[in-house]
Amino acid sequence: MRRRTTLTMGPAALLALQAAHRLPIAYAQGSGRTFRFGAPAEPVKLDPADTTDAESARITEQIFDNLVMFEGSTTNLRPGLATDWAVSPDGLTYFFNLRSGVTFHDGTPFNAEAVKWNFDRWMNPDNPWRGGGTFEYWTDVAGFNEVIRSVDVVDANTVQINLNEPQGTLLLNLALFAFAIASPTALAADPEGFARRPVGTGAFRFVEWVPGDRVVMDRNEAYWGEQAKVDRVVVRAIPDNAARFQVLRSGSIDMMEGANPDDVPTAQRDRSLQVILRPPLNVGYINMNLRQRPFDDVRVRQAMAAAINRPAIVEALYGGTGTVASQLIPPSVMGWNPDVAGPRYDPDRARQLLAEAGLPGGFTTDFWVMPVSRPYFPSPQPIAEAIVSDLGRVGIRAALRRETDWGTYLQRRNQLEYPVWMLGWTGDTGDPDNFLYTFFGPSAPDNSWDNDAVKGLLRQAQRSPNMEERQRIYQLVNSVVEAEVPRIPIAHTTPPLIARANVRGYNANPTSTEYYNTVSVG
Amino acid sequence: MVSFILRRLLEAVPVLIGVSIVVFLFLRLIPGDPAIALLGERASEQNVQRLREQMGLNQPLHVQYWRFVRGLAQGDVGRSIRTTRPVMAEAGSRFPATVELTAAALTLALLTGVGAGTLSATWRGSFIDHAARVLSLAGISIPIFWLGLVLIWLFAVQLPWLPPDGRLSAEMRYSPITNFVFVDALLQRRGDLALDALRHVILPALALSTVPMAIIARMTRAALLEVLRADYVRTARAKGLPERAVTLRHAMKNAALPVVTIVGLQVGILLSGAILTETIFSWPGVGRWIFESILNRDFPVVQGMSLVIAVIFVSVNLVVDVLYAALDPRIRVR
Repeated sequence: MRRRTTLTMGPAALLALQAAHRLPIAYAQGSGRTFRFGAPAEPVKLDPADTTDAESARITEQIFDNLVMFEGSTTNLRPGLATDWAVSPDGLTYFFNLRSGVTFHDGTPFNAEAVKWNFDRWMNPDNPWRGGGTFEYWTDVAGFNEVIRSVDVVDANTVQINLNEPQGTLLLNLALFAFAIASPTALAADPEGFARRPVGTGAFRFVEWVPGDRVVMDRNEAYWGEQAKVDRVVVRAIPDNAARFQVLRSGSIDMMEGANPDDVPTAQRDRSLQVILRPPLNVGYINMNLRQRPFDDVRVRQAMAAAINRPAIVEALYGGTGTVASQLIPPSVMGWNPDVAGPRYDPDRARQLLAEAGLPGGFTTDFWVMPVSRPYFPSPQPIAEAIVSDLGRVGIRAALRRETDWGTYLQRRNQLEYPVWMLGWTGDTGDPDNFLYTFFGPSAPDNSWDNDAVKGLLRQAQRSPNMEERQRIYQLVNSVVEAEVPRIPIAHTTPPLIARANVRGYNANPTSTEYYNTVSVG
Repeated sequence: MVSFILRRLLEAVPVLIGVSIVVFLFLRLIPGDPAIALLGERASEQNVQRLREQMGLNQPLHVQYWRFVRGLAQGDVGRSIRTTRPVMAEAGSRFPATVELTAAALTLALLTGVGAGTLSATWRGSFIDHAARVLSLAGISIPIFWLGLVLIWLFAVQLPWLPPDGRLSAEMRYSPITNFVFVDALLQRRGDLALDALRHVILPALALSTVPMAIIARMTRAALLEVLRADYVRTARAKGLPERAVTLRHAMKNAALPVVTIVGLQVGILLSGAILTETIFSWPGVGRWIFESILNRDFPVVQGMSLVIAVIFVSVNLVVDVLYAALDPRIRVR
């Protein structure tokens, strides 16, 4: 081994290596007090309100707190900066009692004024402290621009949120990373620079961001909640999946996200590693343009669904992290209907349905493949090939078409330029509204299913503060979707996180809202 | 010599203008909308439009180009669309990282390449020659991506000798002055910092050096073989000079000419290789940053950094020309 090393390396490198070998190997073992996380990319901006990417959220979640927060590995809510809350019977007014004695990392006191200051910044596009931000989560994800009218300070520790219309998902939305409370002093001092020097009330305070490399955070000794078990968190940006896995194996980081499907079984066999599966909150589906023939005929859509061997695809192409989807929301989400079994693989039935629709010889169409992989379609190309081959067996001759650019793909599907295409969704809040309203609501970008009854039901469920009523409505919608097949659900996945065996207390949350104060590195 | 340098500098101006136009146009010709790339699959059409408006992407091309050039004249290459930070501020810490990596790789490539080429030429046809030639063939053929992963697997996972990622250990803290870690370590007299940085640069520099090493080795061998056949070398030998003096003092200087040219061109290869190397070794440099910015359609970053790289490339070629002129006086006369 040594001889071959000598041959394939320059003498200078060899000398350096031998010198390095005699050094103490500090990097190979964690200090025990630092939690080092390997992320697929570096954050974009650390101003939570103006952020849409998962990498920024991963960090702001440690630095900031919300009024209400997700509990451990669930989408249940627990008190955050608000100790308790109440809603008026008409669902139009929310009262929040705030935690007293909390200060931001810069010493600014947290109180009702600070909460109102943050809401005013989010709400008003002319607010001077927005730092040029566009605040997508406020408008596009939570829809708060239409729902929240104003925020009033009742007393130093109570705020009142006034709504234009009830929103059943308001509390879950408030737990999203984007609605974390930031220090008004720090923001007012430098609205643009804040995204590089964030100040919140969270379990960790921001220390430094080395561009392209790492973000460092230290424990907030004055944290109001559970004290962090590690002194420091370092989030490293390691872009290549395979390299990130090797870095984890070398012990240079303690945990990582975004493994290649092939590396998961390797990690499961390795006793120095552990695989933590995040509960599924996504769905991959096949969408069709229902405004075009032949997809305007429900029998054709049912034939498509019956032709695809979904269990075989999940078995072969998801690396053990997928489950066949029976409906367009995952089982952990309220409104999942246990009576909806989902399309059954039955090529004979598919042929029969096509014949009934007047297409006994099948038909020809284009099938568009996603140019990037997403958790719900970890390897889009082979999955698409398998689907196209299944369709071919019942006479649906689909030509595989590929867009090279993701932005173009999204743009063209928004304009319904494709007859059949693949896409999916990763949930934000764990609320069914976040799935079904996004798919079939009035402003859904790629929806060609003009079903006014369903739109009305979704609107009704969105406004209702009554959870049982909402659950009934969503279950009903899921059974209508099963019958009408506006989209064909394929799979849900449990995105794997891989950690060193000595990492304890990591709560993998379906919404990816994960707080590191519970993590210890033994 | 001064007029020679001045003439070369003047010739660089049209090159840089050309680069700015080509980069500007190519970015806008490739499909993909920066607003959608930034906002992602959940963005509403309204927000996409608002962002396009804000970024000036709805303006005609010549207006956008003029804005870019006007900014350049004021020393401003623009702000990143993604992070909204000035491109130059962001480059401030990434650029030194790439310079350190490429400098280390070039040094490694020069030492091993010239060494292997010289050995190979002096012992032509021997086992050493064959070994060196196989090595340089491998250097050219092995993809950096694969080699990088193998190096990490071997030297960081199996034999945990060297760190596999980044520029410094996660635990290492320091306050940058120049952002060149080695310079800062010297300024702050931090031996631990220099050592940590050195250990981190070895694997990526090794991966990055393979292609230039191989090219330099082959070029050195070929040039030296040719020179060793020349009359004046025979004369030197006939004078009774020892073989070592003949090779190192007489032959090497003339063989250096083509090698210097090639080394200058390697800077370009190194910078493009840096994209892959920086991705595999999570090196916080400009190569990876430009690559990610192309994927995100972050026009100002790509435009600004392409220009900076063009300036570097032109300067390196200028240095090569000057070196060339110093080595061979005939070039100045022409």
